[in-house]
Amino acid sequence: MAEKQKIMIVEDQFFLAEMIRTRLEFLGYDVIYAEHGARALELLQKDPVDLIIMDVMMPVMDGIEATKRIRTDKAIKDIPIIFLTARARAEDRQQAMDAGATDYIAKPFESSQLTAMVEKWLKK
Amino acid sequence: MAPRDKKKKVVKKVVKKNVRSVPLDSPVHAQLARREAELKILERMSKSFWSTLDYTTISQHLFQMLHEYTPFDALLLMLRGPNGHQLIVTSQKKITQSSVGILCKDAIQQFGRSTSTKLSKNDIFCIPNIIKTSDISGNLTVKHTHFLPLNVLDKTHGIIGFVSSDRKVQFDENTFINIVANELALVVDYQHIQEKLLRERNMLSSILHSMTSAVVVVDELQNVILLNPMAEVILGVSANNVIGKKIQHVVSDKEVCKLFGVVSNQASEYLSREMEIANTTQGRSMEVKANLAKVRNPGGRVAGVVMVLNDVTHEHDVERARTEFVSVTSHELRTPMAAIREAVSLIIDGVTGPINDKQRKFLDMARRNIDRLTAIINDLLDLSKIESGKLQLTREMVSPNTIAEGVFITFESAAQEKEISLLKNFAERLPKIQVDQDKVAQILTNLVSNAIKFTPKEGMITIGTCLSKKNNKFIEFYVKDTGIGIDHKDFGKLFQKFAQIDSSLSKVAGGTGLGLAISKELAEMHGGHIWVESEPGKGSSFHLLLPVRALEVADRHRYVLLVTGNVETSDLLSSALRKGRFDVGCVARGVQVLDKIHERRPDLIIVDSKLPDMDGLALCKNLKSDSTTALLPIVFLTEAGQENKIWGALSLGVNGYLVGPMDRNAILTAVKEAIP
Repeated sequence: MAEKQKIMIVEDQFFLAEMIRTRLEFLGYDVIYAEHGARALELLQKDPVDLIIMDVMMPVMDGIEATKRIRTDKAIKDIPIIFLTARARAEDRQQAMDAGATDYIAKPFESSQLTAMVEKWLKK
Repeated sequence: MAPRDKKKKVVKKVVKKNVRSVPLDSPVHAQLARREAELKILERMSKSFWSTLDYTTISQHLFQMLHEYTPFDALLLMLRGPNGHQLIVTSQKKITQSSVGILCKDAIQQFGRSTSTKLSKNDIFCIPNIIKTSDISGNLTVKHTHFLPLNVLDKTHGIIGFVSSDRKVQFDENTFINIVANELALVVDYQHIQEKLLRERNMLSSILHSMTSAVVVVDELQNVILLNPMAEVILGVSANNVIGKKIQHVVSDKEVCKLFGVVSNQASEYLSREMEIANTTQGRSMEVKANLAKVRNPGGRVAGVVMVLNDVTHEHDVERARTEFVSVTSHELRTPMAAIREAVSLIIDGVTGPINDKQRKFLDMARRNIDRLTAIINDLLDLSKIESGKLQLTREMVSPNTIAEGVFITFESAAQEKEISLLKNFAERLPKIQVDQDKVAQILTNLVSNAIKFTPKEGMITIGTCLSKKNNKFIEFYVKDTGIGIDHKDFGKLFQKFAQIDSSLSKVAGGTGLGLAISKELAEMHGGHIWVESEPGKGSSFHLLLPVRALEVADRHRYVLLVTGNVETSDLLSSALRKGRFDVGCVARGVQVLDKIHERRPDLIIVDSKLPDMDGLALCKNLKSDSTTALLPIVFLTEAGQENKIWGALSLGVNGYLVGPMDRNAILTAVKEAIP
């Protein structure tokens, strides 16, 4: 049996992360959780993942900064990162893409939208 | 006074000349002496008149002076006042109650004769004003009174009466007495004008003081001539220090000063600006709306500029709060809604373990209600965006059938669930249209979801597209159902906010009551139009007409259709409307109107009350009761004397009226007010 694909959720709102995690685990993924960007970087050093779902606004280190750092780290720089942007404003999206986001989805989103996007980037 | 002095000198010279050649006892000499006396009296009188505003004093002086000249016992002065008439009697003898009564009666009669005004005793304040002299001898008995009206131009300000108790006064000196009366009339007239001016000045001053708007008036040289208390506050100046000075020297805000120059030099009479003023005396900056207008003197020359400033800071704050509210609502409400929905979905989808049928039923109900709540929030946000002008259309070239197909697919399963046949009837080879695809889909989605709500089991719904039959520059979408139908009288209400026709139905069917209002706004933003055709019990069809090419609303001239058989009226209206940057179309006959509307849909129709082939009211009635035209604003036009028709028209639902003869401003005002 093939090894499960691993997804990291970086999100400070625990209930939201928990729901995404539940859905993804149900779909057969391995999920690890980080409450902010700094924690995510720390976990990634030990345990690289196949895809990251990243919130933008978080305490300690926000998603933009964390993404910039991931993109400069040779070992993990190619992991697809899906941004959860709170606002659908064009400049917010642009900021995310500039930082190195692979794709983005605006909150609030349907779980089907997110799972479709996850599948899309994991296939590649 | 100067001309009179001159006159006197001339007369004196004449007198001297005559002294040489005429014997002293000659009647000519006596006459000249009399004239000299008259002139002296006139001069004194003149001085006395212009030195006081009190009629009682004037009447005393007059009496004394005239008494020296011609013997009579009393002088009567009756003056028209703003709150009644006053009667002043000046006499050298005691006046008994009965003689006042007689004088009063005489005066009323005489006044009535000279003005054809009917007066009663109650209209008169009596001020018997007896001169206290040592030689008061006996009572005044009124034997004879000689009256003269105090006339200036066509106004009679009062009457003057010369009262004699023992003889009929011989007024061979009539000319002189007439001069006296005229002079007095002028004084009274002058005083009336002065009083009126004072009253108006006081009123103006009260208005200016109590206003919450700032008012500044400058003359043609930009000197400040008026500045009210609110202007002191907003501009941070004191009226006492600035009146008479150049506005640029006393008001520090450069933008405000500049506007006075701008309006003076521009062709238009008015100017309106919004700006910010930094240094108000309230120590805060203030957003103001400035309205300026030229002041013209009676000759039409620009005599100055008036500026009115209104503090709109609060309004702007409210608008900002509203925008902020919309954005916060969109985020803060929708995020938890999404979380609840996701939590419920996780359970329904069995992610957390198996659930029984009853649990599933309740959770499904919960999810449906969350979806409904989300829809309401989204509708409210949409409407809020549209109303505040923040919604922008993203137009692209797209095939109408692609949009319709997308909507069709969305509803296939919902229709199936309700056992309704959902059919499509798309015309082939339609041109692409330049629209905001999402917004058009939103309108159609709304129409189809309504149709599904109100169509019973085994009903039929058709989504269709076609080229407009009337005008091939428009594409028509329609959604036709076999549902409960809608009564004619409810067509207008249908597109209003929160207006579901039957509230008991809405409870069953759900919905926010905003969908059609939003659809209408969205259609109109596209330069399109939405309407309904229906009969109760026979189903409804909703139609959406969209222009193939986008007409930029901002650049697009509003189009007014005139319906009048009168060439003069049509010329007058056309020229006024074209000058107001409207496009104008015209038909003479009522039967041509519908075709003309389909040629190009007007923003407004002006209907003449008299048409060659039908009554204007009948046309209005037809238009207002036809679902395709019910929402078109109508201005009803009648001639003066036919105003009774206006009520008829208004009760039919016309949006404005014009009464001929009319000027350009009246036309443009009526038209602009009627266009939503």
